[in-house]
Amino acid sequence: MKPAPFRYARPDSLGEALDLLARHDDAKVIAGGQSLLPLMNLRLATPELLIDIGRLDDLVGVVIDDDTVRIGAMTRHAQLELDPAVSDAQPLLSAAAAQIGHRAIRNHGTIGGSLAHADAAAELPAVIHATRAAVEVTSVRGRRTIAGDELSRGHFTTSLDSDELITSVAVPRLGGRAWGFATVAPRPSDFAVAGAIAIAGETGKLIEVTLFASTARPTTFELATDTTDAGGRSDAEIERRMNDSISQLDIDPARQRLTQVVAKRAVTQALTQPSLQEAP
Amino acid sequence: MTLAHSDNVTTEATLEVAVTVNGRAVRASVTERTSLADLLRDDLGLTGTHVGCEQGVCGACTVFVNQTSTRACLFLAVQADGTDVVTIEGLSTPDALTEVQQAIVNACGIQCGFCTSGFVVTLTELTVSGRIAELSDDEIRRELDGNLCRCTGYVGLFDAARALRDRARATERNTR
Repeated sequence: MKPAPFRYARPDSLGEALDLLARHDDAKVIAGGQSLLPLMNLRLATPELLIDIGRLDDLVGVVIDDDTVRIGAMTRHAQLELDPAVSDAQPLLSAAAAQIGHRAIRNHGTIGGSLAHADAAAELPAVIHATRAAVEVTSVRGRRTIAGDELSRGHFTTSLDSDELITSVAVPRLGGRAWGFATVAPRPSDFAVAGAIAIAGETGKLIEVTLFASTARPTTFELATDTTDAGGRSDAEIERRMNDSISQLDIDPARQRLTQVVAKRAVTQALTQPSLQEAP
Repeated sequence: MTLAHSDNVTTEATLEVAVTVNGRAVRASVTERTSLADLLRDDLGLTGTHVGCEQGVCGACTVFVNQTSTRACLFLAVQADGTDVVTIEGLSTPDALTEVQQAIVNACGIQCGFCTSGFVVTLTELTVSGRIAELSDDEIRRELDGNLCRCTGYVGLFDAARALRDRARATERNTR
């Protein structure tokens, strides 16, 4: 339960970190270490070099404007969970962060680390996918933006190049749109077995449902909630449409039913949020 | 700063770290893969912090780093360089239990003691921050779900947490 030997470097600057990342093929960046160190302790990961970005204070912080919540890559989950400014500005993000692991894990785990790690069961990659957040990445070759729904490629696989580092994420605010977030796990702190995010359009007639955990990568489909000519709604019909969409996706068959359950919970949350019910 | 090391990764380097532990400045020689838990227990003899899973799930290794609850098994000794660490030994002495420790004793929340230091750190963070006063019973359960106990069945630990919460609420009411 001890990691294999590795070398360690703690760069003082982003530039130094990027340089190390470019020069060493078998290097891993360690941010909060709450996902990487367990894997290393089990020797499922055996990097030759750890590049510790934990002292790069420029990567910490949250900036909120009218449209987005911009989060530095080294921002800890606990801040997203507990900071009232974040939960007011982007409640879906805050609710998802609150689901991650345990208190001590949330105190140290980071959004950059979670996104780069790309565990299929993880909450934040799913939120970044569902909201199409803009992920800023940088390397010695320059900077680029990866669209949130193009980052996760599969379990533990992203579209990051091996020398790229996530520096920040700009999460769009919901602008009053209703949302839902639901997971099923043996205990709240366990990895989700199935997860779903629902984000309603302006009028609530169309809901974007993003599945995760039972899919290799977050997967979004559209759900129409109009079921009668008069523009009303039949819950059974909506559920039938949703399960129909789910059945066409690449989902672990053992988790098909649980996926339907979480999707229904997330969609119900979105449909019953006060802001939507007050809409004319 | 790149800490000096050998190019041969099978030979482990000796790295110097400076850590404040329970208020004392400490210098230690560690390897890259020495965890904070290893440093505390093996090098400093502070065996009140326990190693259970080395995966971050059991919570027996929980300590404070810079006033923040931390899994000592998921924190390298080299990462602790320049930080302020407080362990169970630094929270009290045997002659004077803290409010959290006394609450656990009063509620019979201790048997073998393996999980206890981790629970004390977790509950201390909640009480010192004042957050415990805001928590419902279910929220208390959620806050404690990162600490596993194999002996007590959790009832005494949960009762201790609720007593701390109720006392924090009473204190708030009295000071308004």
